[in-house]
Amino acid sequence: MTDKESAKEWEPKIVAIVCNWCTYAGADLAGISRIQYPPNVRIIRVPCTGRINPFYILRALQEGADGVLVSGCHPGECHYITGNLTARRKFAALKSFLGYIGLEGDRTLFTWVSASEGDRFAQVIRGVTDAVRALGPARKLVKRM
Amino acid sequence: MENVEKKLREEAKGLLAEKKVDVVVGYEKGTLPLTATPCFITTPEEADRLVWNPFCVLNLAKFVHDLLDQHHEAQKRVKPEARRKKVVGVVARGCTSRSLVIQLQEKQYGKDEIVILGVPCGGYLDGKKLAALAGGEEVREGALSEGKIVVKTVSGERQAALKDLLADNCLVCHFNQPVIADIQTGEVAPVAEAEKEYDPVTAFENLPPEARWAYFEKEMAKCIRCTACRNVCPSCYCRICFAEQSQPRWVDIGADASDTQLFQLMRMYHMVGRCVDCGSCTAVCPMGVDLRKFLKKLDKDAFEMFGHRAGVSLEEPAPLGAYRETDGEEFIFEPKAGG
Amino acid sequence: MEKRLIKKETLAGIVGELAGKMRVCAPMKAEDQVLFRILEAGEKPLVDFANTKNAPKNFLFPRTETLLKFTRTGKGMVRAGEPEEGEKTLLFGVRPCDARSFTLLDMLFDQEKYKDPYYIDKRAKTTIVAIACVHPPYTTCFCTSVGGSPVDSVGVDLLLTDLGNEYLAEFLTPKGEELLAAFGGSPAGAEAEKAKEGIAARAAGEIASHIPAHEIKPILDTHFEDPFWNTLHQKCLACGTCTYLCPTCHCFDISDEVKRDDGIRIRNWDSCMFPMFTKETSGHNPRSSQKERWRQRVMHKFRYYPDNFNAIACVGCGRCVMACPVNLDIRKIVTDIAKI
Repeated sequence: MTDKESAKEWEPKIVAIVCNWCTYAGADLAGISRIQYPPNVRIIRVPCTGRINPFYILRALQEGADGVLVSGCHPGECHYITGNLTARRKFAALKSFLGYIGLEGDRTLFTWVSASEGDRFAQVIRGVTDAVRALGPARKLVKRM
Repeated sequence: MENVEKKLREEAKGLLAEKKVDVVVGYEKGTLPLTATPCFITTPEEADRLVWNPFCVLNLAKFVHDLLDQHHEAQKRVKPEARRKKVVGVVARGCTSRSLVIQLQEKQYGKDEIVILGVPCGGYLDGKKLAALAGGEEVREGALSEGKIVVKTVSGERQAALKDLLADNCLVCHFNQPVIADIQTGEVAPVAEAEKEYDPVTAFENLPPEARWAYFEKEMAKCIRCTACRNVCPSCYCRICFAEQSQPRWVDIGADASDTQLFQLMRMYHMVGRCVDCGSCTAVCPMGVDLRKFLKKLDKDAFEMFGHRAGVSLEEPAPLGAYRETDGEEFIFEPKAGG
Repeated sequence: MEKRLIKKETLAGIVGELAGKMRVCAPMKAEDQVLFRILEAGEKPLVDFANTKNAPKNFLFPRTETLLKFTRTGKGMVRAGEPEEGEKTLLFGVRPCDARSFTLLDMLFDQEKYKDPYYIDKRAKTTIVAIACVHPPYTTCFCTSVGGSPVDSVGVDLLLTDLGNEYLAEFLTPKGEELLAAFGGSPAGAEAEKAKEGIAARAAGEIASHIPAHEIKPILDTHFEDPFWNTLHQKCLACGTCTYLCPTCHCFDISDEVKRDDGIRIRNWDSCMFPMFTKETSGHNPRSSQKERWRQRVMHKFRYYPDNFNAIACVGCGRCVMACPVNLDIRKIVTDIAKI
């Protein structure tokens, strides 16, 4: 974030890494249903939350994302049976560790949104955007060049 | 200690003479005062070089893995009928044996490829604490007798009780005995106050986030990316580490602090439930980065969140390779309804 | 050459004052270590220390250094800036061994045929103030075995020798003489010089480690293949501690770092101990194991450098001996090679 950028009205940039089968479909449903949600998220679709290397999250922060959201199928509904259950452990440990080193908790958020939850998707995005907005621009782990 | 050392040499001699092992990985006297260094014994005659004392610092499981890994690779270029098995004997204390368990569990080699010479351990001498005792001066001579360390520096002689100079991880160690061993070479009573294991982590957790971040930033700024921490770690055995991958390139080596922070964060994160708190990474760091402060948190989380203790059981897999349907969900973000 | 006597208690203050006027790098306490760093204005450096953990080469040959900047435009990548010009720098508190290392680096970076503008620029703008080792700081010091000495003035612009109550300051070069005014002091007589000679002789005698560094060149010439190399490296972790702390190691790697449209081309320290050091794009690695890498390190220091520049690429500071996590002791290695 340069001074020039911060002088402008700052808008949070949020990277949402979502699974193909549930949350991405949920986002689709939100769109089809014309549910409004803030335009601050950039969605990256992956096959399953179990496929997400935690490094994706750190790299997004390093490259300047103000927040990262990871969302997949609810536990028990994974299309690969257990992908989101191993992911749940990975993210629990990651979030705890990042919090431990002093990163703001709301920079990295994890949730579940199913394909039928278009309204929940919109709610999540509103909630995440508000949470990240409240934190202000990211300063930690951000690469400066 | 002397008895253990004597028994150790005898056992190593026997194993080598009977050709039950090709090499024994152990410790020998170092060239600097109060040091011991890894050594590779291949003949019974050399076995007298082996030592066992509180100056034996590094976790030898790293060398076991490397030897066997190289052997497996080399065997691929040999005709199937000419292939041979290599057996590595290893001097293992509690933490070393736990690392061996992790490597076995992760199918890096078979149990039949190693012979574990278990040694009882009362903890090892901490380099930083020794330097502090010497007042930052060079330790020119040093001796250990009757639980006391005496060092000679340019400005005189100083001494302290060994137990005051033990590494922090040894002070709270649960494993004064190896968790698995083929041969046991003696027993000592535990000295560690294991119940205080997570106290420093809890104390750190209770600091304000900005103070924790400032500490993390300060410690990471010391790092010169020599990768000694990674290379000495028995759980860090990837052939190509993410830090050296180029497609994609995960981290740069350049001037920006964030790259070093990410390198260390990610290396440490790979240790969830795989860190045995042997303290090798902290011991080898030339710049004195306090890695243990962070690694111990992962150990604590693995224990508290997933009930897992690294390297204690051959059956239980590493926590991030497994799951329970009842795993905690407190961290899951719940938007306010209608929000 | 001007020689002066400077009162001992004034030295740190003089340097502290200079720090307000120019970039001064000096040994400072950093938690439980002594490291070179840039002083704030008025900050007094350590004058009483053994040696720094890190070598001062970082200020002439930084761990990471920008070579050029580029940016993406409609017409493709264009140069977006040159690296910052080096600043006039005073490197204070260098030990004679480390000062000698700069002359070894000069041989490589400032040759007739190949000139490294980044290094040469910084070198030209740096004045080196060394503090002679009245007593060798470590028992691992072996400078006298590789052509140096505890009061050596090679590569030094201003040499300070502790005579007890005052420092004998020898302004050895024009760059050193520029500091005359700042350092002040009173003219030194023959007595001071005699005292220094005595110190030099005694200090050299106090060096505890001796290695046959000059004897192994002919052995290395004929023993590229030798069983010795088969076991030497066994316990090596392949980390970069030795090479990164070494004052004479100088290998580097050039890479680009990009964030969105902006990028920089940087050069970073590299280490012959790293498996990636010689790995080729094809995947082939001519130095396939740590054995070849260790042989390279020894050969480079004690054979190739003498071949190319007629000098051993080691100044005997003992940093690698003290810092190696597995106690791979170059003193022992050289001694063992001499026995082959």
